[in-house]
Amino acid sequence: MNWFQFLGLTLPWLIVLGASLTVLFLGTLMKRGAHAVSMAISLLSLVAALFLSWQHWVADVTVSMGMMSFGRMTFLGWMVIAIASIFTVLLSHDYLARRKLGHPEYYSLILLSTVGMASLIAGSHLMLIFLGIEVMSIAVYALAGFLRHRLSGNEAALKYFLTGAFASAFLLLGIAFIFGTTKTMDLTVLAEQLPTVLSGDMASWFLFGVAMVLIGFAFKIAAVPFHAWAPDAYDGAPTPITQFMATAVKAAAFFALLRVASPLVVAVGPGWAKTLWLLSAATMIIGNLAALMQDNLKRMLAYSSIAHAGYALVAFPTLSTQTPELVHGVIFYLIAYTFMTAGSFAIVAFAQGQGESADVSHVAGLAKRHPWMAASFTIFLLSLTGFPPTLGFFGKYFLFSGAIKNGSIGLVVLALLSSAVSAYYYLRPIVVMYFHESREGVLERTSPATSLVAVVTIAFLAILYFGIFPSDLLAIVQRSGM
Amino acid sequence: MLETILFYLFAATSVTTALLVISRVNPLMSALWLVVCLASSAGLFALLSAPFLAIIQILVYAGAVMVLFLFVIMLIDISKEALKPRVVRFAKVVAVSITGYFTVIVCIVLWRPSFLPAPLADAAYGDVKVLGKMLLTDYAVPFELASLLLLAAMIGAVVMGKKKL
Repeated sequence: MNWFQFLGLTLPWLIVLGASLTVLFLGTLMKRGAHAVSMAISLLSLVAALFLSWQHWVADVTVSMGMMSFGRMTFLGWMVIAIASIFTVLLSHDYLARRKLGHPEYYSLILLSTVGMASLIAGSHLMLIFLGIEVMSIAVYALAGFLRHRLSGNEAALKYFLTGAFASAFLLLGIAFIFGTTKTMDLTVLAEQLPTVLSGDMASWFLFGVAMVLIGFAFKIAAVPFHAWAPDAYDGAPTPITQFMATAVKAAAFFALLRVASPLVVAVGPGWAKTLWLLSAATMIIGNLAALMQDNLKRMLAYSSIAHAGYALVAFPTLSTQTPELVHGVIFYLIAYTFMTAGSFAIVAFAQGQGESADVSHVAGLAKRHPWMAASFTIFLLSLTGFPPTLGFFGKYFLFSGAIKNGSIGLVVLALLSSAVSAYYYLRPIVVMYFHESREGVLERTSPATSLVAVVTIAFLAILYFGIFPSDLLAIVQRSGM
Repeated sequence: MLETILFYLFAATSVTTALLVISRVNPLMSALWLVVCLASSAGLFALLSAPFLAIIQILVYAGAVMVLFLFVIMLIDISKEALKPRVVRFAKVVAVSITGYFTVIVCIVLWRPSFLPAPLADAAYGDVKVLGKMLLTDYAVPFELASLLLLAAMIGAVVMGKKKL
């Protein structure tokens, strides 16, 4: 193994790791100004990681080493999580400063979590995938409870930690069974051995292992019936962290699931396709129905993120190595989802102001005081619903047309019906923003922080630009191969 | 012959002490019995020609982890009330279902032993030197990642637990 090449390829995340440790030391060295400096270092390292990943993508290196497989798909995944983490860091500064919670440990944990995600996305070995998931999750457990004075913050951290540990146990047990029956944890070797294993007498134990791995992943992407932790954890966590959980964590888990699913889950046979079918259908229907009843914007977006995981799962029952259009559909969707969700959470963080409540009444009158913020929120919500000409529409279009081409018509019909239902709860905040008078003192007259405006602007421009010219983004995704 | 005798000795000790761990009323006694239980399972590892695992079991589990347990138990003041034997509701139902579950598992194992027989280990198996070499060559990336995992857990614990951050 060529270590220099390996270090060169993983350089984006080595930088982030270095920044994470630097930020940690800053906390002990600096007393004043540590917050601004640690935010700046985190931001710079993530931008560097984004840039270097993009350079790797352009250079188009395809190589497997050190239990990781590098390729354009890996680098694309890295870019997605880098962008999502940049949004989180930008949102965090103002949010923490208002609450006097600007501790360097916060940024250090975010950066460590992204390093875990990077190895989760690149990992081609079940051991590395497991370790990546754990590094990612453990950092986020602590971040979810960062508002320590808040009771629901503690509840969020504890619930997230306990269910997450439970999910990890399932995942690990599944990996152990797969290893026990095939004597390998390498996904490429596993894919080659699959026919022999499935016809041998160890098949049932192997399938048991695959089922356990699937359950572990379903917990991480909050698919029904393993979703119960999500609304409480999303509600209790600081809003930037909620955004992090909804975008970066989910995207990383989906990238890994794509890598694991195409050799493992789908090649196993029609029984598993049916399981994934049910998982997808239940996730969209229950996510959308539960979101209808939420008055709290964070909980509403939590259920909406469950529903969107269900849409992305539409591609999985027919996924295989011969269906690149499905893989591209899922990834295009994940990118679209990252932009619109990050934007929405930015507005929610702004509407919250100093308080912690995220009730929908907080956005009342936003249209009068901050017309641009209201307009952007409208675009984000329309995009989440799937109206043209926004990015969300094309995300759904590419995903569902790929699924129809591969024969999951029933599932697509269900997805369309449930996204029609979703219009109700996505349009409600728009109505509140434009037609409800704001209650006194609910919305401050302060202008939004520059970093928050930056997040909203980037997300807004990305959604409109790629909504009008979706082929640009699609070309990037398609040229990433499998 | 000696190996068989030792195996039964260690196995009997670990099962007995495991029962003692869960049946003692005083948590301190439970923890002490757990030390014996872990040490005897270390003996089982040694019999399976995995000396490294046996040493680690004693050093880390019977040593470090158990000391931590004892510290915590001694630090939290346990009142006499809390030390009374606990009565589990629906104990009989639980007992019957657990016994049933256990019987089913044993039956399955006896009925169809479909796991592969363990392959014969070569002489270097479980050797500290071989293990160290592997950890720093083939498994270097997960090894380093595991250290990151511990770091993340440590920072997380400080963030959650420290009085004034």
